[in-house]
Amino acid sequence: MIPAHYELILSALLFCIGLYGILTRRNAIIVLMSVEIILNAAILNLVAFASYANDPSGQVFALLAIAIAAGEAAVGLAIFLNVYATHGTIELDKIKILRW
Amino acid sequence: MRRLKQSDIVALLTVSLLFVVVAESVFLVSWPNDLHDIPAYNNTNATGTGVANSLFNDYLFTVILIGLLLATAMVGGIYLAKKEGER
Repeated sequence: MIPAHYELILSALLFCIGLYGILTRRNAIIVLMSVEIILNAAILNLVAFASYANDPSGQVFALLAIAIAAGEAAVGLAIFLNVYATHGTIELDKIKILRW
Repeated sequence: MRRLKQSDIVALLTVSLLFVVVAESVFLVSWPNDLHDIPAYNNTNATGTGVANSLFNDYLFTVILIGLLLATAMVGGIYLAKKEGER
């Protein structure tokens, strides 16, 4: 039996790794990956508390959150494709305008 | 291996501080430690506790909304990813 602390610590660690990636990296794809890591940290918390509280709602929310993450990744990658076509780079500190 | 800049080190320190604070507060709370198995589908009665029962009874409207969202994301992604001249 795993105590709930372990999942919560792992989730906090994933959140911090994602936050560090967002804060330090300049490549847009790596920032998008870090956002996904943060989303997965939240989903891990939902699943953990669903098992401890014997309530399937948490796992349902986890499924829905995974679907939303998929949509976010699709739209984000398409936006970066467009940004690369207009700016020639996806380094986030070199992109200064939102409209071409 | 990338060399760490000064701002990277500041970010690393800040994030580790955040992690330490979160871990401390996690250990200060006594969480429940009895795990339950939640079945994927409970066919004993209509209102049983299972992931599929909950998904398609309580959250049916949410599932439809997520489907609409995914369809919109697909259309929007394709529209954005098309080249400028093809529109």
